[in-house]
Amino acid sequence: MTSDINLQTQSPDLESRITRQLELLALRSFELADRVAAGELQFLDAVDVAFDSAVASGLADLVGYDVIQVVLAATFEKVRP
Amino acid sequence: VKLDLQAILENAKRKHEGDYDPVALDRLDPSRDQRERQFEEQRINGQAKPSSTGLNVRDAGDDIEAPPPRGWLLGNTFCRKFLSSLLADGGVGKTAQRYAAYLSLATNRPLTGEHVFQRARVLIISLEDDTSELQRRILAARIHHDISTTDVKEWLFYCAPGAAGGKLMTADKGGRASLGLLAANLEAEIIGHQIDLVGLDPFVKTHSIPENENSLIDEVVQVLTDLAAKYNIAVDVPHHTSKGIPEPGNANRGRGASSMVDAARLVTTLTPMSSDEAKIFGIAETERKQYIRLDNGKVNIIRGGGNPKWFRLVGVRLKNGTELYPNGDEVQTIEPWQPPETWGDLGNNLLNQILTQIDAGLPDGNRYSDTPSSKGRAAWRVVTQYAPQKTEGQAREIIKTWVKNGVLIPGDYENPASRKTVSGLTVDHAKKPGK
Repeated sequence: MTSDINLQTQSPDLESRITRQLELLALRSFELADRVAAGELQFLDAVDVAFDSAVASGLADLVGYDVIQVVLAATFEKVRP
Repeated sequence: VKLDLQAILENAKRKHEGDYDPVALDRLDPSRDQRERQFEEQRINGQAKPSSTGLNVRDAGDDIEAPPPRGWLLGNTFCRKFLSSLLADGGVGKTAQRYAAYLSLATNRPLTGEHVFQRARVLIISLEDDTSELQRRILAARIHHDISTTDVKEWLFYCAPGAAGGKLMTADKGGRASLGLLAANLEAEIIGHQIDLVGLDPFVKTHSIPENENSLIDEVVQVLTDLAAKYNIAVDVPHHTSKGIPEPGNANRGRGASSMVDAARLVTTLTPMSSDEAKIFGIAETERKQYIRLDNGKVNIIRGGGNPKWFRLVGVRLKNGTELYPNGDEVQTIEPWQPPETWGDLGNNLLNQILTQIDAGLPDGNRYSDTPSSKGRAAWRVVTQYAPQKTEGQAREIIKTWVKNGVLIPGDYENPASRKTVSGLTVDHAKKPGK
């Protein structure tokens, strides 16, 4: 699974920064999914939290909302109702 | 930029399933600052949308769904997250009324005539009585309402800590307020017994702050409202009224600083039956103080007004006699009381017969009168002639209402015998019942 992203600026560090942020989003989403599985959170609330976090950090604007959706779909797959 | 999402996800999953410390996530992510973490927690708790200031400003346009209903516990009296208070003079029956309300919640029975929305665990903290007196008051209510110990087991808790319990707030010599021992003790008990309602009786004994200091009293009340919000509980603080003439429904009669009553959202007043009310209801003057009325003093979160709720004070024998005190104690509790309805059993036909008689006047050509000194021409006597079950007070009330509504019109006429100008009543036929 690969994704092409058009960026306005070709910074040498940008790719690694985006990769790190996506990995962190995935990690955080796995954690939230665990809390859904434990019954601490509702599925939709947890997804909203992860999504809003991606928006608030600027990641969604950088990589596009489709990429965020892919990450969230994969990380919340096991707890999807 | 080409991203290998599969690799990123697998890498994250491996870390997640491996020896990974979730706390490190925050340290790893420099873009995630304190505010963002706070926001995430608030979102998880359903409290907030993004905000740049920490004020949790929300966009009303996002409120697609209605907020959850308020957590009412008992009628319009107790509600989760809200402070309630009952204002009354000493000796009116404040504690008796409140204990019956607390027992309603603890037993899930409408002992005060108010709807119990949900059974609730109640903690009574009496700062006025000692433990034995508190037990007597609870027992009196239990005996009268036929409540067993098993009915209240693990639902009704109480204590009378005296000075050992401390205060919610105290003031030092410099007038600065500081949090007292009672606040921490209270919090521990709320958690320990999973309390839904705390009753602290009376408010004036919960603190040692000068009671006329609005700003300091406000801080005392803030401790209680914070507790109510934090633990999703109702808090009730019965409060003494200032000296003066009792006035049902006047929340401004709370003793001391007004900030206490201002902060309490659900304020009711408790007042003994007045002499005028006793006449209307046919209650003897010597017995009227056994009847008390509960009025909405200031209900901030529902529409105010409405009829008062009436209660009757009942003396209950506790059957706790000993050799020294063979009769034991008699302690007061309350039961709901329904005043006789002034108009309830009077149909339009009967009311019109009364009005026709009043309009026709007396056989000697005089008119009936609504003045207290009218004696032989008293219009209220016509009411009791047609409705003998009505008391003088009720009959007078009916005439008074008709005059107020313009059904009966007072006016001057010449007394046919004395030729003097006197006042008498005529009927506005357009306003007769059923017209």
